[in-house]
Amino acid sequence: MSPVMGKILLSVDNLRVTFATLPAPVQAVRGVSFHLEAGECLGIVGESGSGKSVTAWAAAGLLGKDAQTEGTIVRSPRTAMIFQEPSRSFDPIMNLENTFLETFRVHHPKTTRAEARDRAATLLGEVHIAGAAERLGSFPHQFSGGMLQRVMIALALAGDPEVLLCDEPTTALDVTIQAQILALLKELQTKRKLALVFISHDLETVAQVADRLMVLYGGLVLEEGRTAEVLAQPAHPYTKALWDSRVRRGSHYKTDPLVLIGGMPPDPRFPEPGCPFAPRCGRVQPECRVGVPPLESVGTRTRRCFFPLEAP
Amino acid sequence: MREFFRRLTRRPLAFGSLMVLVVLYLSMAFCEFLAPYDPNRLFEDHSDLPPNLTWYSSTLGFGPQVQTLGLVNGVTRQYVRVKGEYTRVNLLAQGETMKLWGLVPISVHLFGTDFGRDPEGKAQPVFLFGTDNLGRDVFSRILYGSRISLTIGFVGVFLSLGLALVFGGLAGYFGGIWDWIIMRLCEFIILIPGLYLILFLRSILSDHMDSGQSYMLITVILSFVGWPGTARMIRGMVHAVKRQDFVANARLESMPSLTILFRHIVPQMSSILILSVTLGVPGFILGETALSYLGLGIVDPAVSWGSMINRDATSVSNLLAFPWLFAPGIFLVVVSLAFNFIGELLRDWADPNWKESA
Repeated sequence: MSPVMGKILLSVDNLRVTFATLPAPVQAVRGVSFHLEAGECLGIVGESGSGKSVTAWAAAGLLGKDAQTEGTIVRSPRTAMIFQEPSRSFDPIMNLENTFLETFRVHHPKTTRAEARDRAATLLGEVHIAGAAERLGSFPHQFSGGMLQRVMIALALAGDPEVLLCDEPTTALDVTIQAQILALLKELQTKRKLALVFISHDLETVAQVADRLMVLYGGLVLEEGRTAEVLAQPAHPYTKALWDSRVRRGSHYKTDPLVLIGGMPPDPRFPEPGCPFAPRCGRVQPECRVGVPPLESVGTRTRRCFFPLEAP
Repeated sequence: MREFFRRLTRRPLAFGSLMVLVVLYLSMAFCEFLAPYDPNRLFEDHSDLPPNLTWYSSTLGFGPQVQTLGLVNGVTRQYVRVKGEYTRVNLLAQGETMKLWGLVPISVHLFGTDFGRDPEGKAQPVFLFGTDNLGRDVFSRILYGSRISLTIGFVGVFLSLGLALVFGGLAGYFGGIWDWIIMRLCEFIILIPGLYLILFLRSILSDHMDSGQSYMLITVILSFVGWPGTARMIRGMVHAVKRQDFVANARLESMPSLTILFRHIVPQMSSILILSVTLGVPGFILGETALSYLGLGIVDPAVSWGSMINRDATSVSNLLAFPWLFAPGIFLVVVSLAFNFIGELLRDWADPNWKESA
């Protein structure tokens, strides 16, 4: 539980998302729940196809008509989102001034151009863009990827959001820029008491910002808990495998092969009858393949495994 | 835009085309001043007269002038030159009073002769491109005809582009059942052979109408036949653009759908739209010509290039005997080519992969 009990700003209950495709529907998310308060950061980790992005898009209410969504989503009307590819997050033929102006006008239709310039420059200063006022006339392609992602953060802040959904915001950036963006997000989150959802496939990146960690696999939550506790003592074999397969400092000087998780991610059209991780799990038992393990809470930790590691 | 002009200077053909079009559109705007005569004025004694402007004679020396032509055969309309009888062509000559844009009366024309005003009655009128069988000045008629022929392309293209943007945009953005209905409608219209559809529409609508009405009718018919192809293209592009993150962001900011569609998605296609306008214009000009050629377009007393071709240039014997009557056809070819050359330049300009070698 978070130290300050606040209003719940984003609540997702038993979310299921299915895409009607042939030959069988894709079950992208199969029952995900989480609640987020002000000043809290939830990290969602998972491989490609684990349903993490779909969860975020569903939480933002952005999924198209082809997606059938079940479950309840209650979110603050002031929700903003940051996307993976900064160059695609902007209208390429609008300069920053107009982009900001338009966003301000959605919230306050009478915003004048001068006001918009002022506020945009303040926001850009807040995300550490040098010479913010002079850069308002620039177009998105005139910025580097890292700068553009910071501009995107500023644009997301333009509506004064309470909830910020970050869908892999650092994936398209190189490592040093990643670190800057992470630091910036952390700073803003503390300063503005944002409820942050941070999605990544990189456990270490998420570990740097998230207070709580949620591990998704095959559209199911496999483990959830405080970041430090989860990483110190993973309860689910998948979390442990994911943590073990990270690239360690200095590992490229050694000849030891990287630790891999064998096998392939599950096919979302034909989910396993049992635990989604069973085909790749080293500790698999016959019952793992029969039924989906229930989500069990022990103290602050939650896990979905019949045979958890060193149960805390 | 600067880049566009830089490329323009490196493409003599496109540059020349642009110049030609500018000159033609300007002369269209000021045709009351540039044309020496009313397009419907009949010079009964000068019907089927060949172009008669010359630049030198021993009588008058150098300078624009007209040699008197005498009719020798009233059946074949053959003329012979009358020796020593010349009429000087004056710049900014007094002539008939015409109303510029229907408002400002002007009696001064760019050039003209003293025909009908000199005391001896010997002065001859000047015909740059000759006259037709009723004795009407072909040059004046081409200028006045361009008012229809040169504008119908733009009006038509903008009408059909407007339809295509609305229908293609809605189909692409909202998808689902709207997409299905609109696209099936497009396919249905494409399915019908264009010419028959045009003939059908033209025939069920009244043919007793003045020139303004028939002009509007032709434009509407041509745009109605022309929009589905463009709508399909726009729908496809909207489909591609609407999945971009910035559209998702706009939706998250709860921007209205139509604002997103027309302020964010459609402008992404502006280069393609400019191109489709330029390449579409000659199609409409030729469409009007084709309709007029079939006798379903512009009819006398209104004049367009198509109606002139239909009237005067449809038989080989006519063309052999009076080749100057083909002049509107040449204008038509030049204008179509000019639009195509400019369209080609715009296509290169719009293509991000196209890099000009230094």
